[in-house]
Amino acid sequence: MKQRLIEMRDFSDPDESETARLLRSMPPTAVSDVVERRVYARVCTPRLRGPRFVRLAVLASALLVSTTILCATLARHWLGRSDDRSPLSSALSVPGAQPKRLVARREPASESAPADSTPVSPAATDEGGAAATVHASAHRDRLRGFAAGRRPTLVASDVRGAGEEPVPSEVAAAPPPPEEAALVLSALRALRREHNPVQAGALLQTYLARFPKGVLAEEALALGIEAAVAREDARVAAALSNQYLGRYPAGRFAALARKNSSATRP
Amino acid sequence: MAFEDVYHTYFRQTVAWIRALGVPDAEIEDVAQDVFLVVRRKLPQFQGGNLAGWLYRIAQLTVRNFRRLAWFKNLFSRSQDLDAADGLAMTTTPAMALEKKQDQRVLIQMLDRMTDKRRETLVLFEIEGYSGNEIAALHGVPVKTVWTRLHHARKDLVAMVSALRQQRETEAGKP
Repeated sequence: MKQRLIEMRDFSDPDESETARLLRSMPPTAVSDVVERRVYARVCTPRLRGPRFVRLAVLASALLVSTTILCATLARHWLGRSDDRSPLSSALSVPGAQPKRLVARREPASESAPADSTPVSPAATDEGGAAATVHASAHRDRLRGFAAGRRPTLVASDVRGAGEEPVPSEVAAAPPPPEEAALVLSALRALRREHNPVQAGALLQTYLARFPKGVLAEEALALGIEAAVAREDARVAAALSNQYLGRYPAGRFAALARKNSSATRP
Repeated sequence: MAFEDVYHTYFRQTVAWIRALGVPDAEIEDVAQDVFLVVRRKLPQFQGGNLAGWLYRIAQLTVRNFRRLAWFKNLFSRSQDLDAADGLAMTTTPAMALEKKQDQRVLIQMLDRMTDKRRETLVLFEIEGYSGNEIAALHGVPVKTVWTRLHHARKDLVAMVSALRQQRETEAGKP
């Protein structure tokens, strides 16, 4: 049987003496009858808690909902970033991006209101139609931007930059013909969704050959540069970039063209 | 054995065990309640034998859960200061009570730095007055193991006291 430190009185070591003093400062546990009765009452009273599986189900549901919200937020964030990365998306396929650009450029044109401007009827902006073809949707995308900007008329000079060549009035007044839009949109789809830059390049070559001064020529050139870069064809990319810079030195995709032009390549 | 009998026989001992397991005085009542909730639920499954050891094991597991929860709580709130002397009866002068309170705080901090087994053995033997055989029965180990743990626990405690004393002397020697 060992002797307890707290019962010992004579210590040779001062540290042991101090240890015993510290241990003596702590009294043994004393529990009052009140505490004992109180705890007993609480133990014997059923707690208002649901069964364990209900709690687990609630917890799992909360976890599922929060995970879903988080995933949706992240996906939206990433998709938004991938859309913003390309200038062509805003030009052709993202309806929300178009109004900003057009609103910013339309002010001078709306003040000088050219005589050959063709008004767009309000019916043209109606989205209630059931037409679901690519042509119609591309056309609607363009018109939707103007509808969102509360602009009653559409003129081509609004769309084009200041440093670009003048556009004939018959082309400027009208939205892109369905055939043009279809070609460019097919190329865009081949490049972005199907990841087929070869097909995209061929479609854009067709477009540029058939409509060298088309409404979407600028976008087609930029898309062609992007397709050439995607298939690592530096020569074609440089040629298209030079062509783009020659036609649109201050165009919307000039940065892309300058990056891939032959002048900047070693 | 009915739950009521188990409760009234072992409640005070269980509180002492919970304290020896390192739970602050302010939380002991809640932890004891949790222990006896488990006991009430599991008592029909008790096969007989060492009832005290069985209860002690439940107390150990409950305290472990409590510590885990306390760790999470401390992540989001200010950590609680262990104040073991709050319930101390002021039977002495205020200066002596203050000194005692300070000693208790120092002792609790030192006990917290020891391993669980050594701390439990030391507190049960030195403070709660358990015998070596009783501690051996609770822990389910031979008595010699209890003495070994007690020896190491004392050694650890004396070393910590020595370090504290030297630190105080150094601080007192500074200008």
